[in-house]
Order: sequence, then C-alpha cells, then structure tokens
Amino acid sequence: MNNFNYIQVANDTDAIEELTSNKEGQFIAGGTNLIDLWKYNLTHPGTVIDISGLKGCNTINEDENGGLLLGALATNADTAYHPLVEKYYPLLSKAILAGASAQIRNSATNGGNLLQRTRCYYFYDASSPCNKRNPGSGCPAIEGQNRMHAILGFSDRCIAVFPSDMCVALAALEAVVNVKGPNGKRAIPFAEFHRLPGERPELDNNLDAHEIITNISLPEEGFEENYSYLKLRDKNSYAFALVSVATGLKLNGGNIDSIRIALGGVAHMPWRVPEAETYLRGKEATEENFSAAAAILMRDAKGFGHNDFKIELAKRAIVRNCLMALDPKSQRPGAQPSL
Amino acid sequence: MNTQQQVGKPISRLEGRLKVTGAAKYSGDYDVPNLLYGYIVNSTITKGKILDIDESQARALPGIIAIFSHKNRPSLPWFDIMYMDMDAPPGSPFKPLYDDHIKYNGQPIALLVAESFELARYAASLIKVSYEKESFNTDLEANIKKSRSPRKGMATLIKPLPPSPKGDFEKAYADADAKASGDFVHGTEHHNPLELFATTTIFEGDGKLTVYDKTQGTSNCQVYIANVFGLHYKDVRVLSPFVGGAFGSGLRPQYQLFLCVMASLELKRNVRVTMDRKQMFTFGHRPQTVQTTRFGATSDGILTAIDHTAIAETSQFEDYTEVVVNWANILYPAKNTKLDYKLVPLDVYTPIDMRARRKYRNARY
Repeated sequence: MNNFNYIQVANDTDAIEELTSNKEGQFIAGGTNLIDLWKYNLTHPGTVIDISGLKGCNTINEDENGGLLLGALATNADTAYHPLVEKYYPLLSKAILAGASAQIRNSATNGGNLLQRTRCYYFYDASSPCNKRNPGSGCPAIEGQNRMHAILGFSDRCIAVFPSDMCVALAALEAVVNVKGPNGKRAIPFAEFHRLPGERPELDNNLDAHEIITNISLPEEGFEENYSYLKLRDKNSYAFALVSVATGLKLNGGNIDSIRIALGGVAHMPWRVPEAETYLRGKEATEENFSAAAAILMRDAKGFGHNDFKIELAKRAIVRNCLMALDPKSQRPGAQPSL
Repeated sequence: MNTQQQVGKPISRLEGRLKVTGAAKYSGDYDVPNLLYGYIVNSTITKGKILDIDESQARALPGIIAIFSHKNRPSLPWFDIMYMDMDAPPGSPFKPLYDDHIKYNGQPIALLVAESFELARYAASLIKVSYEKESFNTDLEANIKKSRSPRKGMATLIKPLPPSPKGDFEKAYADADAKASGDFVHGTEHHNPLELFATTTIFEGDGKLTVYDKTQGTSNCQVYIANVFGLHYKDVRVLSPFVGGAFGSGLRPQYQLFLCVMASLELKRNVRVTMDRKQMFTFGHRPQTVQTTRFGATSDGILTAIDHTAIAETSQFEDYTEVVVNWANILYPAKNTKLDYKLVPLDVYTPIDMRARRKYRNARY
C-alpha cells in the first residue's frame, strides 16, 4: 500500500472542494470496494477523502412527492431493514439482501453500491490487459474466461458486467440519483446513470469527475403487492449474480396493468427493454406471455463461449421471477438474505 | 473403557479452544523483535525468459531493505539432490530464483524485503519485469496424446503404480452380460487452506536458525533448509505448533520457506514472508485428470472386467503421481483387468497430494 494522506470532510461542499483540489484524491465511505482495488494494485490514491461523516447523507426519509429519499451514506443494511423500505419497497430490500455478505452490507453505502467496479477477472488482475483499466490495452475476456460476462450491450472493447444487485431493483423502481458538483446539483434518472462500454469502457457511469452522490429518490410506486427478485449464482451466498431479475408489477384482475423487468449480471448496466414491458401491458399474467416477453428481452443476446448458457438461463429466470411476483410469498433462494 | 459409549458424544480437540479464540499462533503470527517483511513477486507469463527486472522505483522508496532475484541471489548448490525433500517425486525439484527461466505462471521471481508488509507489497507492484515469451501448454485435454508412463523413484514405494493387466479384458468385456462405461474430466483443484503459507525465520547467530513454517512436516523442512543452505541439521529448528488447514499442501516445503530463510541468512535479520491469497494458487495443486472406465459383469452382478485409465498432468520437471486406478480392483477383484496411469508434462508447477474427494467437471457417456 502506498503512503497517502487522509482527510475527513463534514459536508458535501467541502467534499467536492477537496476532490477538485487533490489530483490523486478519492472518496472513501464504506470502503468495501476501494480497499479491495487498492490491495490488488488497481488504484493508488494519494489522498483519501473520508466522506463517511457527511452531515445529512446517512438518513432515509419520506420526501414531499410521496416517495422516499435514501441517503448516499446510509448503509446497505440500514436501507434493506428500514421499516419504510421493507413496507413500501420490498423489492429493493430483497435485492440488497441478495448481495454480498452481512458484514459487507453493514459497511457498504448506497452511493458506493452505485459506483462499485466490475468484478471481471481480467479487470482485477493488474498484469492482464484491460480496456477498462488501461484504455487501448485490449480485452482478454472476449476470447478468454468469460463465464460471468455480458450477453447484452457489450462492445468490442469490453464485455464486463456491472455487479450490483441493489441497482437492478433501483432500475426497476425508476429511482433518481441526486448528485452535486462544482457546477451545482442535478438529478439523473436511473436508466441514464450507468452506461454501456461502447468506445470508452473506462467510464462506468455518467457521474462527472468531481461530482458526489448525495441521495437517491424512490418514486411513490414501490410495487409492494407484486414484486420478486431472483438471483442465480454459482453458490447461494457471497457470490455475484450470473443472472438476476427484478420484477415489479400492478395487476388489474388477472391482467397486467403495468410491469417493470430489470436484469442484472447480463450487461455493463442494469438491463431493461421497454418494449418487453409494453408488450405485457393489458395482457394476462401467464407463463406464456412472460415467456414471450423474455424472448423480447433476450432478442439481441449473444454469448462468448463460457457464458452462452446465460441466454437460456435469463429467459427462464425472467419467466420464473414474473410468476413469483404474482405471489411474493413464493420467492425462493435468490430472495433470501445472502450470508 | 467401553468405546461404544463414546460414539456420538462431542469431544473437544486439544487445540480447539485456542484456535477458535484466536489464541493459537500460526507461522505468520509470531511477534518477533526487529522483524523484516518479505513480499514475493510472481511471474505473469507462463513460459519464457526474464529479460530485465527494473527495480529502480521500488528501491527509491524509503524502508526498502533488499530486493532478491536470480541476478543477486546467494550462491547455492546447483545439483538437484540438495533440493529434494522427503516427498519429492522423481525428477528435478524446482529451485526458486535459480535462473532467468520461467517454467510456470506465478513462478516466484523476486523477493522484496521492507520495514513493513504493506510497504513490501506496494514496492512489489512497482517492479517492472520484461520477458521473452515462449508458447506453452497448460491444457491437459489438448495435449492428451503426449501421455507417457511415469518415471519411478522413491515415491513409487508408497504410491504404487497400477498392477499389470490380468486375464483378457477385451474378451471378458465383449462377453459380459452387462456393461457400463463412462469418461470423466477433473479440473485442477487448489487446496487453499484458511491459514496462508507463511514463514517466520529468527536469525539466532552462530549459524543457528529458528523457523516457524506453515508445514505438515517440520523434519522435512529442517532437512531441506540444511541441505540447500549448507547448515547443520542440529542448528535448524523448525516449528509448526498449529496447522490451520493444509489438506496435503503442506507436505512439501513451499517456496516462501526457501525465500524467507535465504533473506534471513543474507541480511542476518529476523524475516517473515507471507503469501497472499492469490499466491496460494502458485504452487502444488491436485492435477487435472481425464479418466476412462469400462466395466463388464455377469447377469447375477459379479464384476468380470475392469478397465480404468487415468491420464494426469504433471510439471515439466517432476513426475508427480497419484494412486487413481488401483482401487476398483482392490474393492472388486475381477479376473480381467486393464488398469493404466499416464502423465502429460505441462507448463505448470508440480502437483501435490490433496485429501478429500474430487469433483468431476464433465462426464461423457
């Protein structure tokens, strides 16, 4: 570990100022990803700016629009077990608890969850080429070990996936990310927060260099009646999703009034296809219809060898998860807290 | 004592409380005064030659005590027998920092010694190594045609090679009332015990060393160190009061022992070298195998014919063997057997025994 400066900041204005004035500066909150990256020699911050004590950023409150405001520094555990989240946004609670381990969720923050890096093996190995870590050096995953990699939205420069569970639920809930920077505040719709690799895989998201996430807004609709999160992974705890599905829906009799389906583990960002959701609107909530929607979601999917199985796995996971959402009590393993 | 009454009753291990309370000290835990910390640099290519090791950035850091590589290691014996530990398979044992040749991916190529572990690890990240790469083979299935019989040696005594064929397998199999067959592929498996491989060497002076090593055989390590570094057996004391899991990986001296003792003798200081979790994948492992089986039986269930062939990987420098195919015929003594065990040398480190059953990756019927 390199020698580094450590400073604590008490408010977001100071945080932005320190980040702007320290060229080698990086924020630390829960530290569950930064310390990893540091130990693997993927980053060497010159100044660590501790934002864990920022005033007013670790709370969870109702907001004036009938939704909920999740503080960027509230921990994943505090969020998942918050009475209002459990009651009105159980999809989010289940998704958070499907991730990581109890210890990590106790330390990791909501803002940090959005900003975590991919767990691509080649990204994590400093001696491998990687366009995300070292732009222009190449992507060994395309022809190499790619069991965990993307089947949608990839580019010829990067086939990494974004690993978060929490963000899959936030995508389905159409959350809004509130950020602050040297030029003031802005609100970024969740679908526009993360990005696809394209020509610039080194960029995971659309947050500007000196911006900080202050909180996340959840809209009023939480799909608390009909929701499900299904996470499929190699082991049932402390593993990233091979495929995960978040479904929230509103029923009108036996018909689907509205539905959201977001996928994790398949792309560089949580994956939604509005056409699949529109297709289901007004239709009966049947296996056949969900299966047709799954086919729309997977229409452009392509495997790279080891991950070919994900295409069929995702189709089946979508159908199963949508059926489980009809009766949330039927949710099985992926919805249990990950130990 | 009525042994029957003991069955089913819980019993505490002698060291159980010490281990679960954290009071048990492992080889990397000893609080030794004036300790230096080593961190190992591993090759990032699989086969080839080291052209250059640029140490300038690492050496510039305050607190770096020494950097060892093949360029400046002490003069050591070059003949194989001095490096042969008690569990060494037939062949030529791996000699750390011996020369510029890379024999496998993750081979130790340098040791940084610093005032703290964190500094040594950071400095290691600043070492720039340039290589001349050669093409390599690490895929057993792709090289299966290169299989050959294992060389024999001392290890063959405790791990016998398969017995000669008995009867006429092909005829018995053709005539069998019932037949079964299957092919199985096992991937490489690494032991990865909870306790990391680590060595703490106390430089006692007068040619004496006390060594805490993560090992399942202290006398094996004692003899190895004495032979390699030209010390008297009685002057080398190796201790390993607790084993935090090993499953066979601690049967042979691993390279951190060599590097730690070398640094301690060269610097005349107390030194600790601890591998990190990633480095736990850079030495002995259970080999990949491809196994084919055919069984023939009579209609009343008597096995008459057994054919079991296993082809396993080994390194290019030692012939590690496992007892894989001998068992079926010991358990079920059929009259017609064909048991065969062959090796394919690959550009990997020498495999080592692993306790516990295998998981097969593919079954092809």
